[in-house]
Amino acid sequence: MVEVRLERVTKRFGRVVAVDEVTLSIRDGELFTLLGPSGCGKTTVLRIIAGLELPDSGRVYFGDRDVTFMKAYERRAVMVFQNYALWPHMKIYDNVAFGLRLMRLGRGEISKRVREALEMVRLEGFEDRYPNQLSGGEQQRVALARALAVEPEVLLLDEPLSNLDAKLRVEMREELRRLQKEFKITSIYVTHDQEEALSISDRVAVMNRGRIHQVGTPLEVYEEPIDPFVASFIGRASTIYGIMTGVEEGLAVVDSGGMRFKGRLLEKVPEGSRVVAIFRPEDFTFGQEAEGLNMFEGVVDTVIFLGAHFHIRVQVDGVELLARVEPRMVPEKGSKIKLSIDPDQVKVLPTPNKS
Amino acid sequence: MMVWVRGRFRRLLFELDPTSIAFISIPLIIFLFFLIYPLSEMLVIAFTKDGNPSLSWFMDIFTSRFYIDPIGQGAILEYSPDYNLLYIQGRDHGVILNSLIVAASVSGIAGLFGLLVAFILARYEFPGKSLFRVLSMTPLLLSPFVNVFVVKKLFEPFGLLNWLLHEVLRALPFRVYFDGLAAVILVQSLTFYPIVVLNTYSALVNMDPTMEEQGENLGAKGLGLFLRVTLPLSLPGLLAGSLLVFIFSLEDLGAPIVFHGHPLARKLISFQVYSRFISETGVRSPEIAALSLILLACAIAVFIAIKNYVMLRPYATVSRGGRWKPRLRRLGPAGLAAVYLILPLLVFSSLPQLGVVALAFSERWAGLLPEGLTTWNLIQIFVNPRVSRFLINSLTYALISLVIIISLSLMASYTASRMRFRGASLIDALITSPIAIPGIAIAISYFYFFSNHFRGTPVDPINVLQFNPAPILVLGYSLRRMPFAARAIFAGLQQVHVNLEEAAMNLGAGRLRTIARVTAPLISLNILSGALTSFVYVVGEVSLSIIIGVLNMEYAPMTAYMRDVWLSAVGSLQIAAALGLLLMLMQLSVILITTVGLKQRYAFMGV
Ligand SMILES: Nc1ncnc2c1ncn2[C@@H]1O[C@H](COP(=O)(O)OP(=O)(O)OP(=O)(O)O)[C@@H](O)[C@H]1O
Ligand SMILES: [Mg+2]
Repeated sequence: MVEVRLERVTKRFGRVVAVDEVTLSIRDGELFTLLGPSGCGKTTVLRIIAGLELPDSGRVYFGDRDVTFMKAYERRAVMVFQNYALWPHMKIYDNVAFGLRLMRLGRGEISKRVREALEMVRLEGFEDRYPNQLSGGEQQRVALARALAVEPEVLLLDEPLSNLDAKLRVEMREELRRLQKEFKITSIYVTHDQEEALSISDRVAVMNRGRIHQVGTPLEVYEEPIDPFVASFIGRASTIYGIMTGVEEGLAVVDSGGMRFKGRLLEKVPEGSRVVAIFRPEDFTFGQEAEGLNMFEGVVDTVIFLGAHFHIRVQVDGVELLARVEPRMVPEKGSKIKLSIDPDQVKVLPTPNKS
Repeated sequence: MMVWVRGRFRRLLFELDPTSIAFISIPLIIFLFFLIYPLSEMLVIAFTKDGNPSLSWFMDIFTSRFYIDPIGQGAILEYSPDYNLLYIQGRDHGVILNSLIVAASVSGIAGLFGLLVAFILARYEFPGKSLFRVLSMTPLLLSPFVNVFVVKKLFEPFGLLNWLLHEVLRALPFRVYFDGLAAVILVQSLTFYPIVVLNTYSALVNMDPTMEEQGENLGAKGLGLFLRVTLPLSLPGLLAGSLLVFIFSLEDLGAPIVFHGHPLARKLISFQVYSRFISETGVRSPEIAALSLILLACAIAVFIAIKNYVMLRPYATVSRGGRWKPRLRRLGPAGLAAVYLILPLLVFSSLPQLGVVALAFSERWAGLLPEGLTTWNLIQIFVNPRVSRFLINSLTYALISLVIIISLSLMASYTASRMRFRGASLIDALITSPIAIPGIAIAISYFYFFSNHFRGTPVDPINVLQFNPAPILVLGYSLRRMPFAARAIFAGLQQVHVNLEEAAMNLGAGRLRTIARVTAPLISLNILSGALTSFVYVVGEVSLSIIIGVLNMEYAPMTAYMRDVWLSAVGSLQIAAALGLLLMLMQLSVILITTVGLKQRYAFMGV
């Protein structure tokens, strides 16, 4: 119900720069995901938005309001904590009703909204239990209900589904998505699970070491990662460093040791510059020899079983490529293999400045 | 520059709200106003003569052989062949040196013996260990004055111990008589060594066992290992315990008062301050302020000298992180023999408490043991209004102090553990500081403070006829006993995850509501155990009670009655013992409730 903006927000803890000059704009009613490895500063960003942490510099806006110095209890930005933070001395009912009581609602209204919130997370009938009588996943859902019950302006979700089993996680995230759209709550969702991020978000921000690397729709960050970090963090990818030696038919020619291939330039770079090429495992084909394809020959190094399919690592001229294989055509370990990839699927980026 | 200042200001405002401002300022103001200010004012008084700044009070003290006599007089021991008696009394080096010598000897003896007992408890397993443990903690049971009296009786030339060692066992070829400074050292060592045991024990069990194992790996064994690894690592606990003992010894009035029949027992700073104060009337001589200040300075100097090694806590720390499996070993025959040789010493150190119980149930103590079983003394406490009045006063003061102690320590501990600005921990340091400040110094400074600033009011101690010590006592008790509750509450707060409070604020609860609905309920057990513990120690408080409390006996607390038996020869010894018994029972129940019922630690401390 409100737009959230961060402008050049920085937060340090001693020497650690937890959040580094982050500028973000989260649209009204949007489900926005912060995706990044552990310790990259996701929770800290949420805490700054919630008012639990004061940034060292930068500003936070809700709509036009500068809320940077507003206290946590004056903002209507409610957080679902990574460790649930359920009050152990209160029953589930009282946990969920806590925020509603502060809103001075009538008794009937409170119990109605507690019931509704518990229904949303499928915990009807748990009202009289204490948090320690619930499983980790159930506790996580109570934490979610506690936040949803007060219908906040901004919903901050810190890995709210991390403790659920795979099936419940998928169900809950769809439910969450539905509720979020129904109530149009501006939501910021933190996860390090890229599948979860891609499947429910309107937009995703990929973070690393306190910095935002890329913001875009799930498709954009997947298809057009702007740097190797994003490419390797979203989906799997082999990243290969080399020199761009020229452009042929709109495609970059890359030289990497013994390897030569073509790829699509995502950003203009002068000839002779150092570049990095990104190969997605699913883009490789086998045994196909056609004009214009990049062809590689190598030795299968490792075979990894992933359920529906396999990944193999192939050594090509001292470089390692990760490729996806269907179960019925899994090659032997140590065997020679030919693989090809459409140059259009190979993304070529300038090498980021080492920082 | 302006922008920077404004930025700092807004950051500060972000942390502050009416509740947090109150939580910071109330304890701060009370401690500045009622602890720091009176002590500073006493400093000024001591350095003023006839309205001018002057060193003369101190010059008088430091140039007098009564106060400082480096050469010393008298013999530490004397043997009298006529009576076949070894008379141990100590040498007189003047009041100030005597006090320091006594305090140093007591902390030395208590330190060595305490370390030994703690090491046995922490590292060895043997039959009778729980008895060993209980006996080593018994001296901590409070029974002011009476416990000293029991020691005095036991050590008389024809007392129980001489009878046992000289006549029955014939272990001693002569009778031994402790008196004067030696008696004070003996009593205080017996009473205070468990403080060293507690602190050292916790250092030993919290020590990472791999440290010792590492040492063993490198070839250290036995005494070498102990000296090179174990001792250095347990040193902070040992020093903290010994430091507390040093301070308690300096400020102790119990032993000197009971032994004051011997002139040397009177030549201690604490007794001098006390007897001067009591014998004068009206405006007291600034020399008393100067003496109290010397007492305070000694305590603080020792504290500062070893502060780098010591985190002063009223009780052993709870270990951080995972508890390790302690290195417990079975004892071999030689070790067992050594332990069972120490056992009689422990029994011996528990005799005062046993003696108090016996005395409370007896009619007289003329011979070897108390005689004439009776419950009359105990009944008197409750039915005789001239005795019960003191008990009621004490309990009332303790209850009121409790409210102050809990609120202030909650505020200060919350500030120290939750607020994020520099100086938050200063408040914690401030409210734990009374543990290093002799009660006598606080009491004397209150006398000056209230007589200067509240002249003519009921809390003016010079205004003898109308004086009501209750408010001063409650205030002083609260400040002196604050460290116990503050530590317990602080420990509780550290165990409550901050997220629980943040979640409440995040849902719109202000700080006060968050504390009331989330924080306080979650640490209620810590609050309760802190409250019970400080209650007992308020009831057992001595210094303020017998300095300020006795100025109007109508309102005096029960420790004042217990003192009177020795100083004014009013009241009954046996009833004093009954009061002591009651106090020990209260303390025992509190220990049981907190450790068994609430599963909390009980914070021990001396008188
Ligand atoms: N209160 C704090 N004091 C000191 N350092 C902190 C504090 N909070 C966070 N940090 C540090 O800041 C960095 C970012 O922490 P943050 O909790 O935001 O990471 P995260 O992305 O949420 O990680 P995770 O996925 O593991 O939850 C980390 O290096 C962390 O150690
Ligand atoms: Mg996190």
